[in-house]
Amino acid sequence: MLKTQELQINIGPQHPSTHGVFRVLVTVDGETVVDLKPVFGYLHRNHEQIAESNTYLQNMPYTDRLDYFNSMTNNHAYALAVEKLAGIEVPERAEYLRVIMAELTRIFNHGCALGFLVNDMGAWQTALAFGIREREKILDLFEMVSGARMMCNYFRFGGVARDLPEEFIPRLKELMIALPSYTDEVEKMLRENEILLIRSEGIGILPPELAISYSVTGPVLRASGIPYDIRKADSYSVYGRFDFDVPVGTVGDVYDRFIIRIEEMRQSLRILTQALEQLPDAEGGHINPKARQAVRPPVGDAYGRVETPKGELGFYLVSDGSTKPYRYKVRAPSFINLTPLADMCRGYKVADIIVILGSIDIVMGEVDR
Amino acid sequence: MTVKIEIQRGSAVPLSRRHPKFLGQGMLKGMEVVLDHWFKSFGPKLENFSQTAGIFTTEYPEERLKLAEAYRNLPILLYDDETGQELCTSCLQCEKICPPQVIHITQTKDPSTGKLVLAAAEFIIEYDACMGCGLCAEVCPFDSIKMDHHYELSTADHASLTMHKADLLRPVSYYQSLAPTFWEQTKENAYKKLQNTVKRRSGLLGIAPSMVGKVQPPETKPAE
Amino acid sequence: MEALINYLLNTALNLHAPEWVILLIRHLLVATILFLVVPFQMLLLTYFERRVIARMQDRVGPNRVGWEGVLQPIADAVKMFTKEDIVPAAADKGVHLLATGVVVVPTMFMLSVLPWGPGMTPVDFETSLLFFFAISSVSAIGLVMGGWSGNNKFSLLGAMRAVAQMISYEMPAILSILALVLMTGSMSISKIVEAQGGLIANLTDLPKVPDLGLGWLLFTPVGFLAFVCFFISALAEGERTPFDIPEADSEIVAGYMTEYSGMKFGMFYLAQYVLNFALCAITATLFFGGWQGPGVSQLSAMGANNQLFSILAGALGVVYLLLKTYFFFFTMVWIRGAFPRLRIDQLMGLGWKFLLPLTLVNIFSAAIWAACIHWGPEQGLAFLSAFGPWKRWAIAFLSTLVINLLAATLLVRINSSAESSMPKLVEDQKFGAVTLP
Repeated sequence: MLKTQELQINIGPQHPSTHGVFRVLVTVDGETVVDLKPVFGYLHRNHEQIAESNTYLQNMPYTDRLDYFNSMTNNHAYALAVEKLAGIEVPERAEYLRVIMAELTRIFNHGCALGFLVNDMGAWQTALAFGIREREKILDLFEMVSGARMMCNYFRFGGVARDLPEEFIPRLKELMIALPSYTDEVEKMLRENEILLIRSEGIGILPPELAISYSVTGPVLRASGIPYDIRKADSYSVYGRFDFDVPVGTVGDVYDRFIIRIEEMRQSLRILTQALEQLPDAEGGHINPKARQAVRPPVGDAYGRVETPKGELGFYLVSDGSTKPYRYKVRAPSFINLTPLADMCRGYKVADIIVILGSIDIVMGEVDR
Repeated sequence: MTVKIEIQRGSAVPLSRRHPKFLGQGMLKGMEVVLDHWFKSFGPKLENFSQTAGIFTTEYPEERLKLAEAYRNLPILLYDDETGQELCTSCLQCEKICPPQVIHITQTKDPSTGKLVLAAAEFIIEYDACMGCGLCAEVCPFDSIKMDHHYELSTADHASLTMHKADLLRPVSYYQSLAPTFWEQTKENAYKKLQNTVKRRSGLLGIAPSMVGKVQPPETKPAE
Repeated sequence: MEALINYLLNTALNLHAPEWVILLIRHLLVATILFLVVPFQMLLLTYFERRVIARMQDRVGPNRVGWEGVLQPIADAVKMFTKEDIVPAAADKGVHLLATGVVVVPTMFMLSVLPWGPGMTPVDFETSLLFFFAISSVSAIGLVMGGWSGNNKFSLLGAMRAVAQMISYEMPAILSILALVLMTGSMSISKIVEAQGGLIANLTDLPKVPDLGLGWLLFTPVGFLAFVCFFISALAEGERTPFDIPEADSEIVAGYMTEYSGMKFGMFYLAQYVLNFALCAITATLFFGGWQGPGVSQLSAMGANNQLFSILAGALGVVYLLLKTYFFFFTMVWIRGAFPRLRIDQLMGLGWKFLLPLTLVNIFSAAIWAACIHWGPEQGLAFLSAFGPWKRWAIAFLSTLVINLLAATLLVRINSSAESSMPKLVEDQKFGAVTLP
């Protein structure tokens, strides 16, 4: 046997495919990964400490910037936490609006995540461009309701910032024609592609036991075969009123994480269709009028969590009875899903690290906070 | 193998792995999709949300997206077109709510009496640090602070991004052209409050600097 | 061309120049034309690629500089020239500089043996095919030099990958070409092109078919399989998706080009596009008849009486060749738009385990083809001359078709069964073991 020497390569923090400023210290033997050490913290912004010196409402725009791709779901988790803490009721229409926004977010996030994953495998942007195309349309809708494309800041305690403009529902219905054909097209283009198959099948397997012990959530956990979706397990908002399935993977490799996102887009479309049918008219109001003023929750603590496209996003808040949270903690799905990276990569090739990292779908804004 | 775990209203569906029937089938399908898009890109542009093909680029300086009424960029202050009276009463609500704390207001004192007047002497917004969340506009009880639609603010002069009151003031008609329905909803309330405010102002206090000289100052109310 | 120079110098100007002067002037002229055309082609190719791939992704692509953005590559070149040339402090500066030249020059040489039109081969000699592939592999040395001298792990990894890839794909490329050499009995590129006249079948095999310039080698089973193998190898040699592993931007930044900036980077870029162009052109030449096409041979036959017609024939030939070349480049871009890339070990597996045996089988079928068509009593196979040319052609076609199909199916089966023995899937035992919390 030839004696070989291990080599340390530093991938990142400035690297084309680390999805932000993320660094991986890889020990390789030839091209095979022996060990891997993720290093993060390059994007630390002191989010939690800032939040403790702000009032509850002032934190809402800051949550947009956690996972800057899915500001709507971040808002949702934070609003849920504060509502639980302060005991604020939410009008029914507002709940439906929240669900519509959250599911739209999920669709474009998964679409782009697929694109980024295929990009990491070396494709030249095509799948991503298709994802971005649909994302642009959805962002147009977001701009219509909230005023901003990415940093929506749309949710308020006890409802949403403003009701839908007139042209929103017709345009959303137009979009609902396009989205199924988009998912079908992506599936046709990539699901059976031989190159994608050999690049992703059996790569980066995360066994279910390991996934649970790392407390991984979201598509990554479901790809490992565990049907855990907070929309079902701890049904918040009005998710209990919709019929939808939870797709689960069978192997837990990159390919499962790839196709699970296609299926979840389909399920989100189902939810959207039902939500549009059931959407109550504007009489009930879009926000609880009592909750518009500054929130001063009673002493206590609360944990609000939602199923964001990336996994379980939770906000743990402790109140000391003042207008500012005494303790504010974010359970960021990207960060926790990133922890089993070393276990997933060991034994595979250097090129697979990038693909496995892409399949987790992280946003560094959320990892480093 | 299909095991279905029943969960409420829906089920956990294991994904089936499909493999192509012959080598190259999947690749050919992918190439077909791409070529299809290539052909369709010579067809009509993507304008309708229901389309999934056609060029979707907006060629920026020439073409611009129609901004939604709710669009928010950075905050501006309003004054009345005719009287030149500012809507702002320096109630400091926006200064308090601002998350990055970039709004700085100095309240006006009547030079003769030394009492506070309902007008801002100086109103600074640091545009460079503003995150455009729109909370100030939401919280303003006098509908004085609104979010602008002008987004081409790029500059090499950093200091110029600290906007003073004179830079921030816009006439009401400008905001009306941006967001007609929004203004329609709040118009009545805003003018009612403005009338109340104007009653408690005197002389040129609270008149937009650009309008000074163009409008008659309101009659000074009789001293008590 | 010699005649033209001869006329100008000796008849019109009455200089009595010796023959070597005329030859020298001719070669200088051709070289100048080539060196002017090649960078121009490269600029055009980058523009073409960016526009085509943008449209595949529902975008517009560069359309600002000049009419529809045609001047974009020139703007890019200006940018490249004006950028600061950064050489890492720990780099081997001499090798760092030299590598760019070693990469670019061989790719230029490759174009000198291509027949651009009827009788328009810049340098025509008997072993031009060998020369073409021999010179193309010289640039691999440049890649190693570039990758090593930068003193960067990524560029070294990229260079190692590039060389491994180049060497292992040279084998199937040359072996698939060897089949053509057997079929046509010549190693001269221009002779291979000339042999591709006719219609479906070429003239040497079936003398009576009409000469429409469509007797491309592609239309034979041997040629088709050789084409598939060669095109895959060409993608790998030209480092195109799905084989752009040496410069896999998502893994090793830019491979061997990582430590280059400014015009040195531009030189690598130039070399790559010229190489791609040459590979597309040679694919068009060897399998799709090069300048052959309807009308060219008729025009050059008329050219015996009138010089104008032979010029027209040349122009038409160049147009045909460029059309075919650009079609292949379009295919390369198309593939780039559709596929992810392979991993380095999968790439090697494809090259050594699949393409190499396939091309070896193909050489065997090519031998059968040559035997069926050309052999006769001299080789002791007198019974073959009992069949007419059509029958011999049909026998050759069917037998090679059967052999190639069998070989391809067998190899696909062997290779896919090897792939399915990858890490064991946990499909059967795990799912359903965990219930909802």
